[in-house]
Amino acid sequence: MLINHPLLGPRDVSEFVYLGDASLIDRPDWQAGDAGEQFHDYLYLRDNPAGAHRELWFHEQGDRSWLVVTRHTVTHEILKVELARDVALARGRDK
Amino acid sequence: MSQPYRINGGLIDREKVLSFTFNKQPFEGYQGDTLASALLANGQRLVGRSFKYHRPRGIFTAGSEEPNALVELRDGAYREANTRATTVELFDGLAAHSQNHRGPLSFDLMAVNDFLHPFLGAGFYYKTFMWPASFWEKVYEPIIRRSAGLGRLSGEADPDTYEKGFRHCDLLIIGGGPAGLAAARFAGRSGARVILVDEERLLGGRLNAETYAVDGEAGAAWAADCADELHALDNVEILTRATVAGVFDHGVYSVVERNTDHLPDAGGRARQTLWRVYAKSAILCAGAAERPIAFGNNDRPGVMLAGAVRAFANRWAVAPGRRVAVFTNNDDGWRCAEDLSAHGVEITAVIDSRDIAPLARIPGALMAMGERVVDTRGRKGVHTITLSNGGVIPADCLAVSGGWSPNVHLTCHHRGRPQWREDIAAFVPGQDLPPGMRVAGAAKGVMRLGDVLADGYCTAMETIETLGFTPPPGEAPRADNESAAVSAFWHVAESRARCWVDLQNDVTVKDITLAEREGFRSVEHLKRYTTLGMATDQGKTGNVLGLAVLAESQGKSIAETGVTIFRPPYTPVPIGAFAGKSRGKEFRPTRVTPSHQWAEEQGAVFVEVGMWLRAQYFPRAGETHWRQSVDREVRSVRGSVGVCDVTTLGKIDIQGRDAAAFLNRVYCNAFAKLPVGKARYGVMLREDGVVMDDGTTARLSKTHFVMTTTTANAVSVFRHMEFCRQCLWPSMDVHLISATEQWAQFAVAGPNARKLLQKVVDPAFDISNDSFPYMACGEMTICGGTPARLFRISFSGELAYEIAVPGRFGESLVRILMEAGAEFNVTPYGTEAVGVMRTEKGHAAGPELNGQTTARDLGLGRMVSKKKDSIGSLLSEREALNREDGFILMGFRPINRENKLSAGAHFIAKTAPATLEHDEGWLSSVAYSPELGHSIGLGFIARGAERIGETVLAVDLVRNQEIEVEIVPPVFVDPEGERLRV
Amino acid sequence: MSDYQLTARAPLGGLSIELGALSLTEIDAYALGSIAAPRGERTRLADRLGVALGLAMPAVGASSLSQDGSLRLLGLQQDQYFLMFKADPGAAISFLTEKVGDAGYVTDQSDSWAKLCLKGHLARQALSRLCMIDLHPKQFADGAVARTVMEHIGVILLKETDDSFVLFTPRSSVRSFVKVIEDGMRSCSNQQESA
Repeated sequence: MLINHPLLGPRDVSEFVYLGDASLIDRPDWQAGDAGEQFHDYLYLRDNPAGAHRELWFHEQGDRSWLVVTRHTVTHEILKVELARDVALARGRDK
Repeated sequence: MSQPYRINGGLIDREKVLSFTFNKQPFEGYQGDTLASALLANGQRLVGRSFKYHRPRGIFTAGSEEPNALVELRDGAYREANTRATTVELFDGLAAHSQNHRGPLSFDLMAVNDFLHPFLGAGFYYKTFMWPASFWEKVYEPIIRRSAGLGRLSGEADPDTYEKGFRHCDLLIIGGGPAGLAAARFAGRSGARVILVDEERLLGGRLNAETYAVDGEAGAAWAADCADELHALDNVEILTRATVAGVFDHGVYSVVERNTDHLPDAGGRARQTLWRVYAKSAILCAGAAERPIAFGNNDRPGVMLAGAVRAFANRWAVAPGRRVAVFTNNDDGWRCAEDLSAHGVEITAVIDSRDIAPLARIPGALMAMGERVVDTRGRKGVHTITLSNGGVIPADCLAVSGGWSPNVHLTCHHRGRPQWREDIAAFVPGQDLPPGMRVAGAAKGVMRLGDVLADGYCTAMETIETLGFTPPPGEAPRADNESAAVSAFWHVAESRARCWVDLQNDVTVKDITLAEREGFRSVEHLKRYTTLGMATDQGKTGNVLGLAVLAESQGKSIAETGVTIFRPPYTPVPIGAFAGKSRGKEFRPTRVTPSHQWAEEQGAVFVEVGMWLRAQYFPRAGETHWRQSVDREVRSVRGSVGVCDVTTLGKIDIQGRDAAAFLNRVYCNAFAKLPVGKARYGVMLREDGVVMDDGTTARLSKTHFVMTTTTANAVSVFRHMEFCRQCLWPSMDVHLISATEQWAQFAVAGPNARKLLQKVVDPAFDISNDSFPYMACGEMTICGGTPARLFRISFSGELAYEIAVPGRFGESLVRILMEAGAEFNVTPYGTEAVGVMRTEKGHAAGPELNGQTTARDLGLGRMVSKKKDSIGSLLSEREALNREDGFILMGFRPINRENKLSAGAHFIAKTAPATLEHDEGWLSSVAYSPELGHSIGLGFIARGAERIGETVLAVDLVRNQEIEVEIVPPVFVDPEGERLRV
Repeated sequence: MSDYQLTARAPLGGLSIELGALSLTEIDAYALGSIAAPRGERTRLADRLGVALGLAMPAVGASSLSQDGSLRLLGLQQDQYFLMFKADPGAAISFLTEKVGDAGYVTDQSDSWAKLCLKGHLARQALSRLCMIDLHPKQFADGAVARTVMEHIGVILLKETDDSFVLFTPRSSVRSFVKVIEDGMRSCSNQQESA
C-alpha cells in the first residue's frame, strides 16, 4: 500500500501506524449534560462501511503527522488524504 | 558421457563443457543448458516419482510451469528441495537428486501405492483417517508424511543470505518475450523509467524456443538486439532471473531476483533479492502456457508438452526422443512435428483430434486425423502409444498440445476474475485488472506472433501517453502471423487407464468426476477436495483441463463453471527471501545504552527490554546465583549509594505557550500549576479510563517541560500525544520532540547520593536539601562546565537523583561516578535490583500497568482530577470501574516467611476450592526483599484495602504451589517516605 | 576546576569504511538542533532565521543551505526544522538559543543521532537495498530530505549530491544500522565486480 501524503507524496504504508476511525477527532465536550453517553459513543461505536472509510494514520517513520485517509474498504483505493490537523481545525476543534 | 540426444544448433556454448551429477551419477552438459535439457541430452528420461502414487515421472515442460521434474539441488545445509529441473541453470559441479522415493529411483518401494490406487482416489485421506482422533497426530500424520510428499529439507539453517530492496518506475514490464520486448523498446525510447523483468537468463521468451523471424531476422537474434538496445538506455533497468511474484495495492509489485542460483558458489553475495517495485503502471506480458490433453497413462516419462519438445530441440539442441509422435488439438502442435523433422528427428505420427486435412507434410510420419491417443506403454518411459483406431505406434517421446492458456495469474491478485473465450478455448484476463495494469500479447489471448508484437507496441504507446511521455517515432516490429486455430478437446473418453490432469498432485479425470458425483460442484470445493492445482506448480498446466472435465461432467460450459482465483506467489519463493536480513540476532535492531561498553567490562548480565539491552545485574567474583548479586546491589543502594543507567526511559521535550495546559489534559492529575524547577509524578490514562503510562515530568521554564515515560511505552506515548496535539487540540501552541537519545541519564540512589553528586556538580550549583529538595529539577553544569540536568526523583525510595548529560558524555560520566563514588563504595545496579526496590516501595510497573488497570485499581484513584478535562477522566468514573468489590493493588507476604511467592498465582479464600469462580485476584510482581529478609509481592485483590491482615491462599497451578499469604499495605519499606526527603 | 573531566565519545568512535567505490564515514563535527515555529508565527521565525543565520525556510522534504555552506536547515515536518551546523556539539544549545531567541523553540539534537555520510557513485544503488523512498534525481533533488525507516530503524536522509548522502540515525541502534548499510554497500560492490 502507498499513502499519498499531502506534503511528501506517496510513501510506503510501512512508515505509518494505523489508529482507527477518523471520528476519533470529534472528542465530545466533557461538560455536556450527557457527556457520559457521548464519550461512550465516541469511544465504542463505529460504522463499518463496505466502501469509503475515513481513518487516522500516523506517519511515525516520517514527518510525524496524523493523516485522515479516505480509503475504500473493498478495493483499498485511497480516495483522499488530508492532514488531520486541517481536518480538526475545519471541524471547529480549537483550544 | 557423450550426450547421445544432443543435436545441432541451439543457444548453447559447446566450448564450455560442464560436469554435473544426478543421483551421484556423473554427466556432462553445456553452458546454456538447464538441468532438464542436460538430463534429456544424456537420455535421462526418468527424473522423479509422483507425489501420491510414486509413479515414474519425467520432464514435462521446459519452463517454470513444470509439475513433474522436481529435484533436490546441492548438498548439506545448502540442499534445496522441489526445484524445477527446467528452471535450474546448469553449472559446473551441480549435484542434483531425484526425490520422493525409497530405494533407487528406478525401483521405488513406495510404488506399491500405485497398485492400491483403487483405494486412494479423491478424498481418500479425508475418508480414511477420520477416527480415532487420537491417531491424527501420532499415527496417521507420520504415515501420510512418509508416503506422500516431495523433497527433503536439509534440517539445517539456511547458510545463504538474502536481501531486500526497493525500485521505482513509471512502467513495469512483466515478461521479456516478444510482447514485452516490443513494449520495452518503445517505452524505453520515450524516456520513461522502465523496469523489465523476466524469469529467465535470456530475454526473448518463446522467440528463443521457436524458429520464427522478426523484422527479417531470426527471432532469438532480434531479441538479443532488443536486449542490447535496452541495456544501453539509462532509463531502463533490466532484471533477468527475476520473477514478479505478487501484485499488491497501489502499484506495488514483489519481484524475486535470483542472484546466485546459477553459480556454484554465492561468493558472499545475497542469494536472492526480494525487490519491492513501486510502479505507476505495468504491462503484463507473461505469455501463455501450453496445456496437456488427458489420456490413458499420459504421465509416462517421454510424454511432454509439444512446445517444450521443440524448445528443447531449437534452443537447447536436444532431441527429447529418437522417435517422436505428436498429439494435438490445434495448429500449433504441428510446428513441433515440423521443427523436429527439420532437425532430422524421426516423427512417427501426428495425431490430430480434429478431422481435418494434414497441415504439413512430415516425411515418414503417420497422419492420424480425427484420432486420439488412448494409452501409452513402456516400463520407465513411453515406448509405444495406442490410438483410438487401435493402431500401436512406436514413440519414445510423445509431444502433446491441448492448446495454450494465457498466463493470467497476476491479473487475479486483486481478485480479478478471468473470462472464458470460446474462440481460443482459454481464459483471458477479465476487465477488473489491478489498477495501473495493462496486459499485452499471449497473456491477453493474442496468440499469433505478428499480432503479439503489434499488441506489445500499441499497449506501450498507450501507456506512455497516459503517463505523459511523448511516444517515440518508429513502427511496431513485424512478423508473420502463424496459424493458431484450436478446437477444444480435453480428455480421451475411451481411455480405460487413468488419465492424469494434475501431474504434481496426482489428480486424474476420474478423481474429478468422482468428486463431482460426491457433491463437490463448485470449482473452489473441487480444488480443495481433489487438491487439483494446489501443488507447488499451482496447476499451471492442469487447471484448465480440470475445469473442463468438471464442466463436462456437470453438462455446463467452462464459462459457467468458472475458474479458481490465483494468489501470490506466482512461482515458489524461498522463505529466506521473505525474511531477508531479519533472522537470528538481526531479527530486529538492538539498542544499547551509553554505558553499555562499560557495563560489559563490569561483566554485567544483560536483559532485552523491547529492543534495548539493559544491564540486569552485575555479578562479582564468588557470586554463584543471581540473587546474591541482586541482594548485594539492593543493600548497597539502601546502605550507601548505587548507580543505574536509566537512559532507556522515554524522554519527550515539550515546549510552547500552551505546554502546561496540554500536559494538564494528557495527565489525569493536575500539571498546570507545576512550578518551574519542579518535577511531578503523572499518570496518563487512555480515553476509556485505563492507565496508559506513568512517569515524572519536570518543568524547566514557563514554556518548557521534559516528560519521562516508561521504556516500553516511549513510542506509543509520543504517538498518543501527537494525536492529542494534532487531532484534538490543533490550535494549542505546543511542540513535541523526542530527547530519549540526546541525554544519557543515570539514577544515583542511596543515602550517600548527594555526597557523591556534590563531587561532580560544579560548585556554582547548590544541591543541598534546602536548595534542591525532593522533586526539584534544574539545568546545571558538571565536571567543569558540561551541561547537565538534575532531577531529584526516586524510584528506589531512597534519597535519589537522576542526572542527565548529552549522550556523548554518558560513558565517561558513569566511569567518573564510579571513581568519585569509590569512597562510598558506590555500586552499579541493574534492572533486577530496580525491580526489587520498586516492589518494596509498592510502585507500579509493567506487570501492574497491564492495560486493564485503572488509577483506582493502582491505589491512585485520588490523583484523577475531576476539576478539569483530561483524557480518560470522564470514563474512569464509570460504575463498573468503581465497584466496591473491584481489584485494588495491595502488598502480600507469606505467612511462613520461608515460602517464596510466585508471580501469576491467583488468590483463593482458604476454605474455597481453587477454581475460576473463587478467583479473587492475582499476584503481579514478587521479589525477595533483602531488607525484610523474605519474599514479598504486589497483587490485585478484591476489596483489598478493607482486608489488611487477612490470610488467603496464593495458588499457582502452573508451578503446583499453594502458599498462605497475608494482605498488607503495598509499601513495605519506609512507608512514610522519610528517606526521600533527607 | 573540577577534579573530573568528562570525555566525549562519538557514537561509532569515528567509523570509516571503504567498500569498492563506496565509503561510509561518521561525521561527528556537526551539531544538530531542532527549531519549532510557535503556532501562527512561522513568518516571524522565518524572518529571524533569515537575519540571524542567512537561511531561508525550506518546505517539508527540502533543505536550505547558507551561502558559505556551513549551515543547513532541514524541513522535517510542518513547523519543525533541524539545523545542521559545523560546531562543537557542546556549544549547540547556546548557539541555537542565541540565534533563534524567542522566535522558536529549540532543542539540542546533536547527541540523539549518529551522523553518517555515504559517498560514491553507487551510493544510490546501495541505499536502494534499504530505503523505500525513490532517490532518482528526478524525484529526490540535491538538498532533498526525508525521514523514513530502513530495516526497522528510523533514518533522516539528506541528499547532498547524487553521490553523497548524509544519514542521521538514532544513537542507540547505530551499530545495527551500520551492519545493514554495510550489507547494502557490499551487495552493490559485489554486483559491480561480478558484472
